[in-house]
Amino acid sequence: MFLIGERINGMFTSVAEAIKNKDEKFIQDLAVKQTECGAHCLDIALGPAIKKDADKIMAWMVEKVCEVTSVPLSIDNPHAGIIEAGLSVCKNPAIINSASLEEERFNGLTELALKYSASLIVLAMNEEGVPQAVEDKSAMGLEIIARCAEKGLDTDKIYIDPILLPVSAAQDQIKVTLDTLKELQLISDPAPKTIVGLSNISQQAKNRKIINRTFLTMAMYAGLSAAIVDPLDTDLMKTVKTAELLLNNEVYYQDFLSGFKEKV
Amino acid sequence: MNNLELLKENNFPVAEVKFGKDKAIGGEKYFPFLNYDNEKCTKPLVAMEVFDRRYDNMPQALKSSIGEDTASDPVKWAEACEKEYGADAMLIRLLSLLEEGEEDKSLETVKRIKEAVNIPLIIWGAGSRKDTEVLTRAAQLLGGNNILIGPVNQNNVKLMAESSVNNDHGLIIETPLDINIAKQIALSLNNSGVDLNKMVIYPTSGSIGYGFEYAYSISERIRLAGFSGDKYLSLPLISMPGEVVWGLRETNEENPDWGDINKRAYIWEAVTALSYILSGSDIVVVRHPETVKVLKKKIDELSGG
Repeated sequence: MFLIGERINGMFTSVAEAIKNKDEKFIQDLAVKQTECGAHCLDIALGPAIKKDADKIMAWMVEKVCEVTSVPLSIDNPHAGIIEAGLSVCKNPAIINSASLEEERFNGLTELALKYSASLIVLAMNEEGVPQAVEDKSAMGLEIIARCAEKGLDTDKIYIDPILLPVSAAQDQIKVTLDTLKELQLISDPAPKTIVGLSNISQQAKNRKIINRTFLTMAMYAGLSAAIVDPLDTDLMKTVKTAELLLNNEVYYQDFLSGFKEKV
Repeated sequence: MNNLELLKENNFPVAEVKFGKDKAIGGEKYFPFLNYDNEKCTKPLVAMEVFDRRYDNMPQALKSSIGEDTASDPVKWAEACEKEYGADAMLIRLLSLLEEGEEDKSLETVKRIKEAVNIPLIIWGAGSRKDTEVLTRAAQLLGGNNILIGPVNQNNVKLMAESSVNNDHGLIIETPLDINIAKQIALSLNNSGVDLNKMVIYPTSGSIGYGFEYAYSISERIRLAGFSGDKYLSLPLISMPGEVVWGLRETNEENPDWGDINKRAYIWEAVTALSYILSGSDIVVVRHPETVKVLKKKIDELSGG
């Protein structure tokens, strides 16, 4: 399971403050902390409040994080220009977060992915919206691969996001997403990589953490390759580790929970 | 990562463990002898073993080669292994510890062997209650020379870890063909301060015809896990055909249908050892001089010279 740490995001008040005050130490400490907790990659997002000089701020954040870690970075923004600002200064391997099958966005971001040898997260949705049925979601997954291939982007550079909706609003869609993940294992060999933004499932819900980690184990069984998560949630990280053993993805050993801090 | 991808692009090579003055084991990125892009193959080491006392009940095939005389004097025997038989390394098996009160004598012998040979050393217990005590004392004597000491098992992890940290030597983890135990011991050693590049795994050996297949599959699983990124299993492997083949019918019994015992016996050891090499062993420990010759020739051929 490839884990992308979600904490460097301006929607968190503390991060928004740090961005405002150009507090690079805060950002860097947060980057290091997330990797120490087991994140394999770090998402970098400005948050909704940044309107002015967003490209410069993105570049600054990416540069600062690259100074303290060599893990891949997920450049997270709705606008291609701001994504490129981050990519252009990123010394580490990069993932673009994210495209969809909406024509303009897809074309622009696949070009960026090729230009910067970055990986690309593609949401399984288009101008008509998010499909609701397993067959339609899987078909969209296939379409993503085919259209990326046409553009010259290899399958192993793509992460398909079947789109995770909140249990509080679209409870029936959770199982649809899980079944879609299973279906996507069959559409190519090796299977394409898949990803979800885990916290989405518990939006507006109570007891968010247990919802997140319970879903993640189900998704791992269904074949999920990657997830954007909170690595500072120790219970979540322990759950991932335990699930990896149960799925025989890692060799079991007795002290498999050693190395997890009780509280971060 | 599926096996095919692993073979071509591997980001998790086996840890490199220093051994002796100027040798190292491990470091490979692939299963044995697969050198893609003409990368140099890691050559396994062919070690010979001696005891810290005379070889009692020496099999005929070994008698006719090494000679009872040489094998009754550990230092002479060790010197022959290095200078005449071409061993890359030497394992000293502390069999005298199976008797009471032999600890000091054993250590004295180890010291004398160390002074007599230049090849890297492995000091190995006999399964006696005195093993850990003598092994750690030997480590104190010889430490800092990149020697390997073992076995480390679940009962002596703490003491052996302490010894490794204080005396700067490598450790060989013994596991009864159990990959989970191997990983757990590696973790325990690491948590006790031993670097991962100071550990080797001994999955326990079985002769061909007597349980080799399972040992092969365990070694393969360890390698696969290591190549997939499991750092506690990304460790060099050692096997000891010499320990397991010389008590068998095939290496001891005269039988006209089986061919000349003096040849048959070392071929049995050589084929077992070669099979272990193909399963990933970075060091094989053998007893017969002809085995060493055969193995070194084969290793050269398989490594492309």
